[in-house]
Amino acid sequence: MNSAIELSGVSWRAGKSFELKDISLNVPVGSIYGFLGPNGSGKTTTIRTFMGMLKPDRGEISVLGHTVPKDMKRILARIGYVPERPHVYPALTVAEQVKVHASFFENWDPGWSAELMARLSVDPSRKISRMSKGETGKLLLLLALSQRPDLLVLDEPTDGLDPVVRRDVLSAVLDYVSERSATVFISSHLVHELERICDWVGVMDQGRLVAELPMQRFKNGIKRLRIADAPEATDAAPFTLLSRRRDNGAGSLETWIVRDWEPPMRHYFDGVGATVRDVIDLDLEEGFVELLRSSRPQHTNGS
Amino acid sequence: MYQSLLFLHWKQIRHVLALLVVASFALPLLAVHGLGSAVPGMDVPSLEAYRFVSGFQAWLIFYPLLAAGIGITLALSAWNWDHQLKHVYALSLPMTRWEYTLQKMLAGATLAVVPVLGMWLGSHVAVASISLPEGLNAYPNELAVRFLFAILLAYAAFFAAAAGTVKTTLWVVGSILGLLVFGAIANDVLGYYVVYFSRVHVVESVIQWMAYAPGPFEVFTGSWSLIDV
Amino acid sequence: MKSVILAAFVAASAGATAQVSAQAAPDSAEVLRARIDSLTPLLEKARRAVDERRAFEDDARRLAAAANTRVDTLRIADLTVLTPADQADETSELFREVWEESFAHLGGSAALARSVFAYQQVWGEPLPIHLEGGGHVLYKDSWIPRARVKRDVRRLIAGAASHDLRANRSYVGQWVRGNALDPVPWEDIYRQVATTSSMVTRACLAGESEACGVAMALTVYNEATRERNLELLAEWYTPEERRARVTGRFFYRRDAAALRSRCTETDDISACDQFLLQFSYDLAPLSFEVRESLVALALTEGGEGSWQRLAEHPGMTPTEALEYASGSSIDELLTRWQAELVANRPDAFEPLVPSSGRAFLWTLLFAALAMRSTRWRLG
Repeated sequence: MNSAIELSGVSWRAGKSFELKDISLNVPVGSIYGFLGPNGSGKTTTIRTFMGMLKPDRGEISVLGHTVPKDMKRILARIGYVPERPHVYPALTVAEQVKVHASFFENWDPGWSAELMARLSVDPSRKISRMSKGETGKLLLLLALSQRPDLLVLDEPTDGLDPVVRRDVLSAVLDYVSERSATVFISSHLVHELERICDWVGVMDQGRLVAELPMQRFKNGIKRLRIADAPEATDAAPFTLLSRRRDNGAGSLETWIVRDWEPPMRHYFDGVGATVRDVIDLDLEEGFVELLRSSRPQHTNGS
Repeated sequence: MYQSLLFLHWKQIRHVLALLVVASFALPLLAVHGLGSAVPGMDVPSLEAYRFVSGFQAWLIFYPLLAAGIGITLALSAWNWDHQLKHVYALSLPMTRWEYTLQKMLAGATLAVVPVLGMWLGSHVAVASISLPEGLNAYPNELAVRFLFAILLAYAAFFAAAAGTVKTTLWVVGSILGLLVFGAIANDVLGYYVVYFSRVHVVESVIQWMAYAPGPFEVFTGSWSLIDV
Repeated sequence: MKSVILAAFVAASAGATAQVSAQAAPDSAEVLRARIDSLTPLLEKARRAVDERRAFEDDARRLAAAANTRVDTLRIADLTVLTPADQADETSELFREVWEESFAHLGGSAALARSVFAYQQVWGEPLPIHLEGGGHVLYKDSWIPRARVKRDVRRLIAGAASHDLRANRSYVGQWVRGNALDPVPWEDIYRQVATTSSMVTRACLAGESEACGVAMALTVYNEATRERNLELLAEWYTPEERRARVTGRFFYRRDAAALRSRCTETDDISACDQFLLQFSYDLAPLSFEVRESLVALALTEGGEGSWQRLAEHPGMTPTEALEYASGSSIDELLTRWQAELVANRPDAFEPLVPSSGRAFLWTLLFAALAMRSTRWRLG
């Protein structure tokens, strides 16, 4: 088993308003997979398809080597899940919630749970209805980690949390991964958050997976180029052109955003009579934005 | 798992359940000692037993109503938490859907026993508080059993309705309403032109079937008399 | 469309009963003439009644014509029913059903022969039938079940026919207080018998049918025979039961207080008897409702014409009238009544097992439906 999660040609439609279009996604075992996308791009919906909560119209899904939804019971026993909306019960105390949740998981580790409680500073006697958003977030992570999962699925786990709590949460996740070699699938629209911890990234937009690549390649492969005498046709280019724009009042200069760039590719421009004036690194967020722009039909022609 | 679901349901409904238990306990006492059942300051044995039973019977309607109320409250509270979370939590647990539903249902059914015990106890106390007139018998155990089945039935019916999607629920409710509307139209509009339709009593037939054997709600229309011949 | 069903029933009374003796023995011409003369006023009354009924019918037609509705007159057994022509079939079916179910033995009722019933199922404004001369009009909404409409028709016919018993002041009429055609359900009769604290009702329930007759006071059928005597009291109640009846009487006249105290606070049972004889109205263990059930049974047993026979001879004692109407001896009738009573013991909780079993099966079905919930996936 090389993939912790594998989606192949998955489509799902909810009326006329939204659909997942032919999603093929591969999360390597032991990786921390960042699932990026703007709000409403389909991240949560995609998670729900491989969590067995939605039945896709087409496509195949396997998680941890088992088929979805046939082996859902075995799969879910090995997944720690932090959903988008807190699913803890307001009338319970933390200790009661932990006890309730523990009863559903055979691999529940009470010692580890107690340790996490201390480490994350979660008060077991505290009533959940009186907890802050940050405290609730930490409790959710505690619940997910205490069951010793092989796969941790975190849907916007740090959304709305303050920086201190966010750091606590992410460091707890990293510690767990380093200790257990578990796979983490983490969705977020906060690009910088994922930049530090993920080794794979998938980008969703408008129900489609527009990119899936190692984080290193994502970070280093998207560049802004300034080209003199740029050619019209780019069919033979060794990189992927995301967008191009003629610079105002600068003669024949154009700005290109490209993906999968490597330095030897400069020679391509020599062959077509163009000159690369500058190669500028984009930070992850800029790259992410350019990627989204290029993936949307109305922006592909450049503007 | 069952204990956890029972605990969750209990936590959610405990305050309402306490009131329902009190009502279940008090109803037999009210029926025996309340208005219409006995004259204040007068020994029940000295009443004419027939009048006593007649007065007592005025209270009988409240037993099935209370049972239905408890069943519906339990059913709706069972799913309340899941509906609020759009069932995400339940679906993320390592158990099949039917297992989850079954255990949740059993948890609610267990809670139904609490008001039944209240009713059973209240009935015994009520019966012990009077000397039964000649020719009359008390049926506290039987009353409690009927109460239990009525609660369970109402609970199961509404639990099933609440377990479905809104679409399913609307479909079921719509079908029943549609049948009743059709019946009314058949009786009224068509009956005006065609005599045959004025003789078709769909609404009445449906209600009769639902409320009497072997319809689903027969247990509600049976005898609820704690004290009878 | 909101529709209203108006069921207008008019039972119009048209005067006294025309009684014709069935036992005209051959006699001299003068005697016969005298008898014929004596019948003349009765025949005149009967003719007036028929005229009056026709007047009602004409009145109804006139009103119906004003409302642009044609009215049919239906003859269903002994009933005369006015109804809009387009509802004739349904009305006929309704009244025929009620008649056959409850009044097949009513053939020859003088009171019914004089009565006119009007029935209308209304889609909008009711036909303005309000016959002069009195009657009863009932308005009904469309949601009222047919069974209930039938019950009301039955009650109205029973009320109209009962005039036969009330009118001639017969002993059986007094014994049963006039109404014997719409008896209370057997379950209630059983409750009353079972809960009456009397040694004769206990014996009645135990199977002594003769005791049932005693408890119904078959021999005490009018004011003249309402003998408030110790023998009857002792036949009905034990001394303890008599004392209990006094103790249970919460409201009593002020001048009875001393007697009541003597009865309840001492061993003087004669004080209890005196109290009961002086200050209690209904001493008999069983009420008129129970007596009505015996009359109803006699009518059923007697079949067609039994009602006419029951009312025919006002001078008969209840026992004689019941025997004459039913064609059975009073012992046989009481035996059957007792058997019917026991067979109709109220359910109480006896059928709990089958009904609970069915409830359990329905519960399982609903549970199975819940397990098959369509909410397997988030939608």
